[in-house]
Amino acid sequence: MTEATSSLHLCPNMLTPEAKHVIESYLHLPLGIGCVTPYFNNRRAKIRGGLRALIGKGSPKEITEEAEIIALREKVSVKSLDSTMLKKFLVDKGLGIDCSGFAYHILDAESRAKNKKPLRAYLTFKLNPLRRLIARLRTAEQVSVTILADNANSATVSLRDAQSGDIIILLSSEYNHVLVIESIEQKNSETLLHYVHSYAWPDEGVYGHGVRRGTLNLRDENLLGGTWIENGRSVDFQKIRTIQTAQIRRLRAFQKR
Amino acid sequence: MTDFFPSQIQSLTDIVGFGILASTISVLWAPLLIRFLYRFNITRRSEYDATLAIESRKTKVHTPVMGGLLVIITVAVLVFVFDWERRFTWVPIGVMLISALLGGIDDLLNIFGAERRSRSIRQTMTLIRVHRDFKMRLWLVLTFPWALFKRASLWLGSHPGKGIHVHEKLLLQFIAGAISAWWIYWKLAENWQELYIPFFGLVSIGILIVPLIILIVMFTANAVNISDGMDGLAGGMLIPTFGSLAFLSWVAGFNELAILNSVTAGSLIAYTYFNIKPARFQMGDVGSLGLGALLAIDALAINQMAILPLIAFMFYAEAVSVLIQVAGRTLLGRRIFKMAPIHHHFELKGWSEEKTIMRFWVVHLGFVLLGVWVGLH
Repeated sequence: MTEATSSLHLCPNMLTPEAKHVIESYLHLPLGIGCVTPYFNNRRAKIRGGLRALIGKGSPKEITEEAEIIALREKVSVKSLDSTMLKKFLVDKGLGIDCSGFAYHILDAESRAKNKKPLRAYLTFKLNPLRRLIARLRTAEQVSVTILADNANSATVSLRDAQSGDIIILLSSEYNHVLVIESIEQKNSETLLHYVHSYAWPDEGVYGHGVRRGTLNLRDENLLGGTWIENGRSVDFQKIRTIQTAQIRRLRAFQKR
Repeated sequence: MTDFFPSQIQSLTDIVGFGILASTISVLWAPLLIRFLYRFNITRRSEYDATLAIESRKTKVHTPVMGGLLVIITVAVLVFVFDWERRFTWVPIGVMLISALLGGIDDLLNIFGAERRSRSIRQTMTLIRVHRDFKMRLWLVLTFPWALFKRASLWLGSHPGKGIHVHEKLLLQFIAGAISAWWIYWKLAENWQELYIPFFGLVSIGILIVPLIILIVMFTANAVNISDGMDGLAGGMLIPTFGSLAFLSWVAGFNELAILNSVTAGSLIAYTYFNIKPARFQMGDVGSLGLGALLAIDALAINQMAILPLIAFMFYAEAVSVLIQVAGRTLLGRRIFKMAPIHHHFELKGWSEEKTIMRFWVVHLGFVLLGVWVGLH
């Protein structure tokens, strides 16, 4: 056993296999040879009552299906495209997943596996009765970072109490973001939060963004003071926009009663 | 046997004989029709049909459409020439021709027409506010309900840009349905004012039967139209349907309707011969809407409305699959089927076109037999 492993303390609550399967499906979309699901820009494009796969809220299966149908219409053979070209195809056709949609599908799978109930059973939407009915039918489309961060749906947890399935919320005046904690590791005096999210860093260009894993190295409760590592390089949300709030939150679905 | 039931055997002989006659006439003039359609370039275009992107369907571009004229014209001519009991045959034929005319115009506009766009509700409301001509503003206000109906009708069908708009189709189909309802409720005898439910008996729903008839005629015409998406699919399923109607009409004593249905089935046999893959022509809306309306009114005329979902099972299943898909898309944001109508779903799942068509034929035939059995009670 190595020193690293001897100090390894995996959180007892790992993400369920169902939730992990959802993550893997987004990381390796079952389309042609496979590719990473791109980030969706969250623009609504005036699609009312449309397919959720077209507004960045689709499941991997729905995104794949839409891609196949679009490929059929445009006479593109997805089987002949490599991963890079597939991702370019998805981006060009406006297919992808946004941060809250990605988090929703993972946490929905987690809730169904753990609680035998969908995530929507634990979400509160402060809307008029008609919009609440729509939210029950089209939950993924209604879930946003603000909804997840609402005190009616989640509560803040300390770093010490954090576990898999918790979410990291980043709130700013322009743009909010959510990441899902996949696992937690204690390494000497540092806490390593292994997370997944869907994001587009500006330096990734038009086609380099999408779902990815990362690690946040923390020495204290200050999330923004930690080291964010993705794909072997250090990243910093604060460089993109000023983050006003950074919290670890636990959804009501996963709170002990 | 002929000594005991000479009149029934004679009428059955006439029914089958006219069916064979219709089949023979159709076979003989089908090549002329095909040549005519090619001559005037009445062929399928690719720009408005996404399913033509499916590899196996690409060969259908430039196939003649409006092949349904073979059946429509044969049936209409035979009815007028032989002039069977007008009381029972002229209105069904009239309704068929109205629907076929609607379908024919749609087919031609889709091929030769120009793009026709309509204003959105938002654009209309903006014009009501800002148009400088008061009379135009007043006109837009007065016709606003009509504009709402036009946009709302898009929920019931898509519009590729050319062809008849959905609201226009609905209106004309409503007229066809209304004529059917007028004929059945007011012109035929009292028995047609009540609904016959097999195993149960006659049920009176009063004047409500009128909107029910209109709805059934419209729904059935569109159901057959929706089902006409593969070579031989609609034609092959219409044969046993009209055959069963011929049989049930004969059993009920309506020999003239039995002959009408038999003639239709016979002509469809010839049509389907030329329509199976690789099709020499396709039905087009002229055939599917016309025959769908005829199917509905023939079933209504022998008071067998209740078994329509069985003898027209696959047509109704196709139409319902479209409704389910639209509902899933709107209410849930997801596709329920890979593509609607449902024959495309199976095709996208990997079934070959031939397998899809034949399985649909077989399932449909099973339900037609069940429908006949139920209808005999």
